[in-house]
Amino acid sequence: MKKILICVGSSCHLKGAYEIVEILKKIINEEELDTEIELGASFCQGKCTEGVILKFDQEMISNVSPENIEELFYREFNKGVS
Amino acid sequence: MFVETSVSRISKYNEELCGDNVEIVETEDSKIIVLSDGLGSGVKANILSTLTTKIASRLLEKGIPLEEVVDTITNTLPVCKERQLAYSTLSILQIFNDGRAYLVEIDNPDSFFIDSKGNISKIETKKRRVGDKEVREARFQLKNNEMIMLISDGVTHAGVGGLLNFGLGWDGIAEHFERIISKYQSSNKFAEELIEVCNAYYCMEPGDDTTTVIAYFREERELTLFSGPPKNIDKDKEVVDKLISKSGKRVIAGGTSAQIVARELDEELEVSLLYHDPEIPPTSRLDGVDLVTEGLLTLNKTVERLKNVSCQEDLPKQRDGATELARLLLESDSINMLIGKKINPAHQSLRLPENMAIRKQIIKRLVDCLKEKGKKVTIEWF
Repeated sequence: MKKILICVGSSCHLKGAYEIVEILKKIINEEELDTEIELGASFCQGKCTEGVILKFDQEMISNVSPENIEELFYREFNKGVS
Repeated sequence: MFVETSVSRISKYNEELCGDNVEIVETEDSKIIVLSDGLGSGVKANILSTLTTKIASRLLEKGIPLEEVVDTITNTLPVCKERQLAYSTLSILQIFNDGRAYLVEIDNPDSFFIDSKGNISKIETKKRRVGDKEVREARFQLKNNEMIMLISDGVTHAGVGGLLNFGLGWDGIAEHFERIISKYQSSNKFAEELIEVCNAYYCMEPGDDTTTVIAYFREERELTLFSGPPKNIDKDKEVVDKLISKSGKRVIAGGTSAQIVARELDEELEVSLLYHDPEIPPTSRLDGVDLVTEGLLTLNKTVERLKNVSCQEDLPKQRDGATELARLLLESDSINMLIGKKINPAHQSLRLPENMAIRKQIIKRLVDCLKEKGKKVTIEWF
């Protein structure tokens, strides 16, 4: 099972953490991935200027936004598969 | 121990000024509540009752005996031309921090005693004469969670000229009040609801100034709020120790602050993804801490929530971080803030709304708001 942690600190929130969570929930729901992916929250990772910060398993991904999250999700999700 | 006081009142229909007046004075070891109902209504009554409460509270504060206070008041009030009287009623209640209470009533309706289970009874008083006035007096001991309610006669007369021929009377009020107490927690709400009931019996056109004051004797509720990492990392441990050593509720506002506490206490910080409100980041959980929220955005919203209400019952029924924090703050009497001065680099580069630019400003707004609501607030900066 893969784990995605989204930072819900102040500045990531302002940069769209809430929308990102909603988009991820939607994708997981539509693709019926809830047995494969677990969503969670994290606090500040100390990289606020590069927010939104997301952790895909142990890998930290910066500059995530509601616009690029979908593309980024599929890229990361399919990494191990191909 | 602590005495929570709440006042609620309505003026006689079509009168701008209330002829009832309430003065609450805090001395070193007690709280003194003075209620006066001036003769008539409107400006004249307002002046009479204001003079009475001011004179009485100032003299009592200075430790002048009651006989002298009553004498002074009856001899110095201006005389009403129509009635050839200088007159206003007077109730004085003094509650000491150890629960000793002293009640004096002159021409006001009997006060209400409410025990910790919500049962209402009259207070036994001794009558004696001071000058040409009959004074009812009582000395008694209050226990934890007991209340005293003082009223002006507009309360017991509620309904005259409206729904009832003779008004609700003392027993009618007691009945309504018992029902109200069982529904709410704060004396603010009790007072407000009772006055609402009176107003309804008057068919929204009260025939007299109607006032109630509640004194709620209980343990002081403390809250410690930690927000913002200390400027110097060496201070982290000291701040966490302070937060944990305080009795009462503990709240952390700020993700990094929460991480510091979790680290120092070697506890697991559980961050949630549950949004109750899209504008307010989710809350977290940490053992030993009553509430963990995000920092500045939540604090900003908390001030908004607080500005709109006078007691916790009036808050929206949401469970987002800001509403929860506002609820805890409203429930507390004394609030101790531990505020760090470290600047988050991210907040400098973002174009934040102007009023949230710095932690200091938002804390100042929060403190002002809490002080306005009668809270004792202390701040320590780190």
